[in-house]
Amino acid sequence: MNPEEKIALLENQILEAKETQATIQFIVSSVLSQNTIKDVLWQIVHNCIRHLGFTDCVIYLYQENANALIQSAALENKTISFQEINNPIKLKIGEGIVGSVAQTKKAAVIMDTSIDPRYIVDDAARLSEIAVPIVLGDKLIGVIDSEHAEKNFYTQRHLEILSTIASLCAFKIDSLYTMEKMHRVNAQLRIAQKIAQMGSWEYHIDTGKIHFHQRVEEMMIKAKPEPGLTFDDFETNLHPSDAKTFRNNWKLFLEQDIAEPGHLRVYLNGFQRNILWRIADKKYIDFDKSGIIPGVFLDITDIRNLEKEKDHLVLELTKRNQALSQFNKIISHNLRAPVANIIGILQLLEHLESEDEERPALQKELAHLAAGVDGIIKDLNGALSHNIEINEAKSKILFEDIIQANIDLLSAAIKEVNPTIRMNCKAEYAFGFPAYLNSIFYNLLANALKYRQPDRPLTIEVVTHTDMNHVHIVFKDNGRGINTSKSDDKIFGLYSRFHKEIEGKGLGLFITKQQIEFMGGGIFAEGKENEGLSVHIQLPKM
Amino acid sequence: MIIIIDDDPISSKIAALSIKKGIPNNHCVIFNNPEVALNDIRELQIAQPHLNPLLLIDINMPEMNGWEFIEALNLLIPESENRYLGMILSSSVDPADIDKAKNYKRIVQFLTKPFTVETTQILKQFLA
Repeated sequence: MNPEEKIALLENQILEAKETQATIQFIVSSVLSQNTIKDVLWQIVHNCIRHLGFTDCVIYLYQENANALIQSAALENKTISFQEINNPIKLKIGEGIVGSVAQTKKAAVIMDTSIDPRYIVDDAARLSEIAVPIVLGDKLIGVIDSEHAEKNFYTQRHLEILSTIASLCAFKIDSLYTMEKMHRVNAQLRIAQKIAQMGSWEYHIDTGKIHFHQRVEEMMIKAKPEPGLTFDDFETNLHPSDAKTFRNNWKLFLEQDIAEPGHLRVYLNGFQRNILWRIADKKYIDFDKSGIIPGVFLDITDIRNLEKEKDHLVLELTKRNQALSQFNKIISHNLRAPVANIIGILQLLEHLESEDEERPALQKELAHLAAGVDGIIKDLNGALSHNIEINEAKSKILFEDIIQANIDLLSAAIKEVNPTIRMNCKAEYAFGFPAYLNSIFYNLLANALKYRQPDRPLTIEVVTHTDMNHVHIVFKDNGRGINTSKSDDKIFGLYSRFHKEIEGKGLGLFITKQQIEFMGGGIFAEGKENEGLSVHIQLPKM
Repeated sequence: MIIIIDDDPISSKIAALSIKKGIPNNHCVIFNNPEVALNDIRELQIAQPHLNPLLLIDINMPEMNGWEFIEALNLLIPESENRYLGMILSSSVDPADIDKAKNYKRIVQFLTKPFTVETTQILKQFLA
């Protein structure tokens, strides 16, 4: 070779090297600008065909959990556009030329596949093949593979270019893997926080700023916050008194390491949400080392509401139970007493001689007792038919209407007694269960008629008025009265009968008291013997 | 001697007639008002200090219930607590009442109404 030829050869080599470098640079820069692994892979296969004259190019990615290579991008020069791979080829490590390259992590250029036992025919037999591993350090990422119909197609230059591309792309693919993983973890965290109805935050000690996880923003911050909010910004959404507590608790934590979980009321889009906030325990994280104090907000609004509903139901059920146990008392005492007497008399009659002088009196008592039992059952029926459904609504009822309705109900006795009934209703309405209100006024009116003083005409006075929260009712008569005061509630007891000369089972005022207390009200009586009785009732306005 | 303290005139009459039938030679006194009963028992104790009457006490009475009556008697005649045996005679079948009766030293029996001629057999065991 003469010097001219040598120079020409060298110049040619330099030119080739420059071209190679330019090609590598072009391919690598186009690949590096991609944002997803899929795009990176497609850029490689596309550029290899376009710039290196390959007829096809395939990239397999290594999947660690399957310990296999999965065909992830494939292109032939005939194909114009990128296509999804429907049934990707899956290769075991060590399987075929690609598999063995993955195993050894060393590139292979096969000049004649027909004499290589590893060669596996894909869609058509091709005579030469190049396979270059994509490796980062010791870690296998995948294999770039190309086949050509002619023998001896792939050159040393191809190998150099592919190897360089593979090693540079290894970094890119690995970092994209990491990013995808991070996105996945973040999405997972987001979903987990959403399901758990919580949001996490971090306080950065050096900047004094709080960084909220995206969930917190959805949960409790009106405007989308700037990244890195201070507590001042955050406090604007809090209930004023909670903001104060929050700040105090936070100070307590910073200065004395006391992490008190706090309750916050946050106003968001017109709704109040109940939030519990917690700071991570020092046991778990060294704040000084990390410079970050993590914590969470728990949205306990739904739990709170359920608790409230539960408490309400428990209260209602307790009241129901009390009413039932009182009914049980009525049955076991008021009803049992006369029944026991009936049984007693019947047994006694069996033992007495037929001409015993006591017989006629006992028989008369028997009839009297039977009528008494009947009376109690009628009373009970009346009281219980007034019972309300648990979901029955309270409503407003005019006092005048209630009283008139009960005057009509008791018209027979009213006609007989002819009382003067005066009404002074400054409060026009009572608020409660209509059935109860009716029953209450029935009992009050019936009692006044029953326990009137026979020597003087009966006068009944009903006075009502309201204050801030209550409706007050005073039901006053000038009947026989009893000595009782505000603090003495014996008159409302189950066995109270103060006037022996008058029929009565002591049920009326007992039931009245139960009904008033059931509606959240109160009752007391004031009176003097022979002067009359005033019954004072207080009911909630709403 | 048997003393009945019961506001219900019928029930007390049934008890008295049953006792008359079952224990013919016994003296039986009825009080429909426990306050009156207390007063008279006190007078009886002064007049006949060696007499140990058996008390039949109802629980549900308007002026003073049976428990209040027992407490009042304990205060009025302290030595009677060991001497005057008592029995509750009530229409109550409430276990709470039966339990409460166990707290009183003088109460030896809880009788559920009605009082019958058969009930007198129980009384006989406690009559000296």
